[in-house]
Amino acid sequence: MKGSLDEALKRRLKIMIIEECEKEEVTPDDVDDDVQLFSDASGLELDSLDALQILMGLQIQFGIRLEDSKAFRRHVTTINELADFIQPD
Amino acid sequence: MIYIHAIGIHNTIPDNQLPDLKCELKALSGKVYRRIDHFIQLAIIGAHKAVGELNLSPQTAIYMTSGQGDIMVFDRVRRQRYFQKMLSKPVDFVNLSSNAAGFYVASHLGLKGKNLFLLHHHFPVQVTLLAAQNALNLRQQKAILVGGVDEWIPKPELAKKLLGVDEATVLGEGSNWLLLKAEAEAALATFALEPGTLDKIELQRLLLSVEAGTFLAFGSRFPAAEVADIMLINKGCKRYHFEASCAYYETLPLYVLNRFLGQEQGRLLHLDVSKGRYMVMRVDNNT
Repeated sequence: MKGSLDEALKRRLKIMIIEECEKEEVTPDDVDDDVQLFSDASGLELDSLDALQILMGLQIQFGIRLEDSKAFRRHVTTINELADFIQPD
Repeated sequence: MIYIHAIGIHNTIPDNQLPDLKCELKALSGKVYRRIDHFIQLAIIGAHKAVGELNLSPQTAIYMTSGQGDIMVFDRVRRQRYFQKMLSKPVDFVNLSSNAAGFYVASHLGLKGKNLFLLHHHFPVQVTLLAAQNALNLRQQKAILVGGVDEWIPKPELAKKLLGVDEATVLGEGSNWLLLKAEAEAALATFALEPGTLDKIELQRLLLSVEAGTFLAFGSRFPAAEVADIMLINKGCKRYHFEASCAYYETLPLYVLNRFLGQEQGRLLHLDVSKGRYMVMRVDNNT
């Protein structure tokens, strides 16, 4: 199943992001699947240190290793796109 | 002469569970902090208890010490790096910087002065207070917030090994702070530290010279028999008991000074020992 159709995977990703970035005031339901995570619209107020934390979270919890910042910017955009990258089909 | 203007005590004996300091910090300060670990939370809580309600000069310096530092994060990073062959998390890496806790304390209190983190095996508190005493006496600083912070960890084997204490020792955690200034106005007490280590004969001479009624407190490394011997040197001195109120951590002497000043009236000499050499601190809130 494509990642963006896998609700359980997307929930795990949201929980990972919330935990890694210590955004306890945010619930997984608050994070929209199609909103750019690093935009004002997400309401997460993430910064570059959060990006590094997410990078490590992806490696530890999902076995995904993104080698450079370009790869990160390409794949860690929205929850749907990140889920599709982790689980293409 | 150096004067103590504020004290703050945070001292706990955790019951097999790491205290939730995040909630405590929020309740105490009304602020929510991200990216800080238990050790840093502990540092902020103790400093806030000491001076959180005061209007400090932004140039107030911070001199902080610890027996074991941010040992929980250190242990996690060590395991990730050497056993799991992974990079540490960025936040852990940042927080392991020696004075990351001092940085957060300064940010919390709005301080922009000198910020030092000092370590010394066996005499961390005394060496830090000595540096503060010198800076104030030389008028290099007008006010220094001195803190000793040690966290309790659920698996204390590594901490006990680092500290050189035996297996049976019960570890506690504490964050104890005091504000030192060279000015007497509105001070709680005077503070003085013998500037060097003493041998037994020098210690005896010093104890014979103190006034009757002076309290003596002993560092945790003192053997019981030696405490009994020292109490016989000057029979006008009284033992200050604090041991039942705390478990062991390396910066306990700051807790002892602060506890005394919070509960007693008079003069206290705090004695500590390492490898046959003694260090003596004196506080007096008689006036």
